[in-house]
Formats: sequence, C-alpha cells, structure tokens
Amino acid sequence: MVLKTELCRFSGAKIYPGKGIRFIRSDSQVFLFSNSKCKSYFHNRLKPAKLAWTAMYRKQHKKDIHAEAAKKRRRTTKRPYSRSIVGASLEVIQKKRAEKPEVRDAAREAALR
Amino acid sequence: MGSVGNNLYGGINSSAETVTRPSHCDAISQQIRTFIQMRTNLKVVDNSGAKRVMCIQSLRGKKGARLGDMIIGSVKEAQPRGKVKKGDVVYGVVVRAAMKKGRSDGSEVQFDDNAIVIVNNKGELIGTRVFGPVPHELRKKKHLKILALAEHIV
Repeated sequence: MVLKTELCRFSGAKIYPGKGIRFIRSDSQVFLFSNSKCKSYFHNRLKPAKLAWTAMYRKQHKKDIHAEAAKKRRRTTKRPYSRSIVGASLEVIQKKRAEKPEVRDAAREAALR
Repeated sequence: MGSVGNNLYGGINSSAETVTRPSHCDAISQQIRTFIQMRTNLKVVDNSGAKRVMCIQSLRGKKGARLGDMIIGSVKEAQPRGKVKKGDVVYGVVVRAAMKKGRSDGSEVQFDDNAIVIVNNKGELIGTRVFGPVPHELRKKKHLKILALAEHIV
C-alpha cells in the first residue's frame, strides 16, 4: 500500500489520508490529531499519559509488552563454525576433532612417556 | 455604505460561538473559530511597523476572510518608526487563521492565532521579513514573496 499513515500526537492512533486535524502552534510546532476528541483533550491540557485508551498510557503501564518481547527473542543458535588458524590448517583441526577418545588417550600416554 | 451595513449583519449572525464544556472537564472553554470579518483584531507578523490591525473589510467571501485571503484593515497599534503609522488603512494577506482550512488531501489545518502580513493593493509586500509559520496555501494564491521570506512553511 502506498499511502502513508501518520501518528496522532495525542493518542498514538494511525491517521489515514483524508482524516485528522493539523494544529500549528505559534512557535511553529505541528500537532497532528486523529479526531476532534484528541484535539479537544489537548486544548483542555489533559495529559495522554493519564487517559487509559491512549498509546502513551499503555506504554507507561507496560500493557501488551510481553507479546512484543517474546516475538523478538527468536534468535538462531550459533552453529559451530570451523576456521583455520595459524599453526593448524583446517584439515588438521578437523582430523583432531574427529579423533576417537581412545586414540587421543593413547597419544597422550605416549607423549608423557 | 449599504454593502458595509450588510457585511455587519452577516458578521453578527456568524460570530464566534463559545461552547463551554461540562464543569467536570475543565474551566477552559473551546471556541468554534469563524471567519475574519469586520472588527477582527489581527496580529501583524512582518516588520512593516504595525503591530495590530483591525479588519474593516474582507475582500473575498461574503462571510469573511479565511486563510490566504486579502483584507483591508486599519492600523490600531504601530511601532514608533515604521513604514505604516497608526490610523493608516492598509491591505493585508491572512497568513494564519484560527479557523480550520481544508487541504486537498482531506486533512485540516488550524493555527493558534489570526495574523496578517501588510501588502499594498497590488499584493506586494511592504515589509521585508515575515515571522512565524506560514501555510503553503499561499502558493496557490500566488503570494510567493511571503513564502520566500517565511521562516517556517507548514
């Protein structure tokens, strides 16, 4: 969809094109309201953080935040990634990794003696 | 003077109504803003020297002027050394109106106050600076000089 929805400055609701009131204060600050209800509250100097239906209130009182947080935690687990380093090329590392434990123990005993 | 008298009657009928909200809400009442008509006090937002102008005639619209229209006004308050003096009759272009103006995309714009910029009867600016925000409705009305000098176009 190509239309751009703006957000109401008071309630946080989406303002579709054709709706809404734009109030420009004398200090050149622009306020977008989704309807005359929000505009009326704004002019009566009510705080959106005190009205339970606004987005600001919901954010402040942490409503519906668990669903959002759970969605974000689905990160992929790390896969073991092999790289060659100085001193041991990739084949050497892979061979050493694939050794059986008995073979490794025997090699360790031989080195000790 | 007949047309002036008619304007006056028209003005009284559509004067600004005060709608008071119920007392539990707040003490501040909200006004339904209407047109700029005779006796409307307007702020002057350029450096022509005038401070306040009272509208004596709206040059467009039977009920009054809106955003972007021209009016004729009488200077009520002026700075001591300016291009216009108190008592001058001047033309002005409304650059900010407290009445909502519809935009082509369907939204509405509304400013905090009523303000004009003083022009001559051809539409050329008298001042050299414009203060405060101006709407881009002026572009359609061909007041490009005002837009050029404005510090903030909305």
